[in-house]
Amino acid sequence: MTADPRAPGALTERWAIGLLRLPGGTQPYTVSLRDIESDTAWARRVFERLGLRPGLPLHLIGTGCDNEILWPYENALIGMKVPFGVAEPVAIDAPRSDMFLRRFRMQAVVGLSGEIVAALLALGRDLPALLGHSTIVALPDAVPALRAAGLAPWTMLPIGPIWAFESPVADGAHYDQNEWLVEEHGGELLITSLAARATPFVRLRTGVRGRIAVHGDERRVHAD
Amino acid sequence: MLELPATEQRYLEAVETLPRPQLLALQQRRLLAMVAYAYERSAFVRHHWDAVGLRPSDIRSTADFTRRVPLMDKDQMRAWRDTHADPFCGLLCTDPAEISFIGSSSGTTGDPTLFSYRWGHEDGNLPAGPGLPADGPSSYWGGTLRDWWEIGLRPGEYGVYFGLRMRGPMFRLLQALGLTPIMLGYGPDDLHHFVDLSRRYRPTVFYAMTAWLGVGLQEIERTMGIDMRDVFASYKGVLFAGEPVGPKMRRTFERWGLAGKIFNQTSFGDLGHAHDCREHDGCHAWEDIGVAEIIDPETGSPIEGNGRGELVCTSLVNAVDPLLRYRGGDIVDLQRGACECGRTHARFTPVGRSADEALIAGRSVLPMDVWGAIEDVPETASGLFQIVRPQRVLDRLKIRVGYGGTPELGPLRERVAESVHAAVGLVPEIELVPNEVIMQSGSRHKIPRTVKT
Repeated sequence: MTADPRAPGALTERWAIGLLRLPGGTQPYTVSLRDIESDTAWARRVFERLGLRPGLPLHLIGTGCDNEILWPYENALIGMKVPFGVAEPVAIDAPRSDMFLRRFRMQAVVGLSGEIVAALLALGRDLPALLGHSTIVALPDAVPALRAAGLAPWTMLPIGPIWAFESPVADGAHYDQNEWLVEEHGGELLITSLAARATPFVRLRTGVRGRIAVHGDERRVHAD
Repeated sequence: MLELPATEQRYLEAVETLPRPQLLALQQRRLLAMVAYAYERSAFVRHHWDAVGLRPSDIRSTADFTRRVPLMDKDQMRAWRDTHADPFCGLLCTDPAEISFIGSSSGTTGDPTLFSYRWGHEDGNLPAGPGLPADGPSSYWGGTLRDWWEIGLRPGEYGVYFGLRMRGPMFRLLQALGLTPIMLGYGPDDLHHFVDLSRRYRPTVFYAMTAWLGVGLQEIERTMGIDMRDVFASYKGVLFAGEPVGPKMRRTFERWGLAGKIFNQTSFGDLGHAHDCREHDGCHAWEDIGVAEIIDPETGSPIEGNGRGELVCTSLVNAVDPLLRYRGGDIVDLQRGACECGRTHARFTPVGRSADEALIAGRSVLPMDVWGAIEDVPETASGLFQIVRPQRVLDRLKIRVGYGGTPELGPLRERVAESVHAAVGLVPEIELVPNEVIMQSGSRHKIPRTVKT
């Protein structure tokens, strides 16, 4: 008997059950091993775009309840041989992020939240000194404070079950168009799965306000 | 790839029941290899051994090791870290570039310290074996898979995972046993989802329960009339990690049909985890993974045989950042010899932490001594409290206690004081604060049970 998730069996079809947090409620959904592998390939493309290099540390901030979304990014870092230290995106765990940022010269900090930034400022930290040498990828609520400190973060935009990434020049957020279609309806972003995912979504309301702009053959998200 | 035994088999690996002479021979073989390995690669180990004139060639047996090798502790590690600007405290035995995942301790006593893992496979999809020798245990948290198999977890089942990430993606261990993890978090709605998802998927394990989550479930039971016996009907185990379950909370879970199914996951001296088995007679300290000793916490002298002392652990299989004779401050009752479950490894019962002990009027008080007394008062039943301990010897017992709701504080203070007095024979000074204030003083699965101010 084997428990290898690659082998035929239950885990291939139901690798994990996640909880999708949407406006007006949450809903459980299943991800398959195929979904994880596809998302890992996308995560690797994101990190290559960020210019990550093997062997240099990275600080990855994310929450355990998002493991089915987060793991492909961790999986990609392992495959790229990028060591990463982890923390949660909430104020109570800010001392952990503070420790990592003081004690390592991180090549990148991914998933920086507004709560963590506020907590670092409350500790009297100098954000440019902590983060100035790093590529920063921040949640939307952290971006204003980082820009006010003279930093130029990427934005990591959660849209339902996916994350989209926008460069510091704010030319629209990229998402995995092989797997998903993001549309706008009445100013709200809707998401549809295009691939054979374990839980298909059709025009799922995400509660994220924004619009879509077409750049050549690519659709990008501009959040409001 | 992990090969699982037949479903009805109680043991995951043959080494769990290895006759003790063979087990100790295996342990010594691995220990002698680790001694040479760590001395050559770990700057911290080499420095402290050189300081007492010790060389690996001086160690020819486990007895030599426990008699001659100096103890190490977290203060020394932090001193090395700060003096050498080395976040890994001089312990790293590999190139930092080879590390995959950098985990960290809870940080309840200062800046978190690190422990790191290498992954077994480049794509990260296989959880087995980073940094472990080929003949080592099939888990990167030594022993955990065996312990979870012992609970009765089997392929095809579901497991609820309320896990923090600082120790690594432990949900991968559920997957290694063929379980589908249900990912939940500490959001205000997640316990309601736990109730719904438990009824829908009928999971077999809850990892990891805390006092805070237990209080939330009691509130759901009280306000919504949910039958928790039905919610937990499929569960083979509920694991408490980071902190043990308090006596009253234990009774609540037993009322929910979980008698005999409450498991304690504790630290095996920071080498990994230790769990109790279905006999619930101590946590198994896997002796093919580590060496477990006890010492007198005051003198540091080894204590032979069974008894109470401070736990000292040595890693046998960690090729990345091994700890050798590490004293973590945990006071335990250690038993060497076979358990009723048939396993032959040592086991220990945590009693408290030496750093948490207070001496008042000649009496020793540990957090567990007052825990039940505080839980017995309805408004403080969450068991969220901290002993204020600026130093070990105190004139008076002072406890900061969290309360729920909006009670009258004067009478509540008196009732809590009376309950504690009845438990420990000391009249305490009680400071009442809302539960949330206590929760903000630590991580979400563990709060410091003693504070300096």
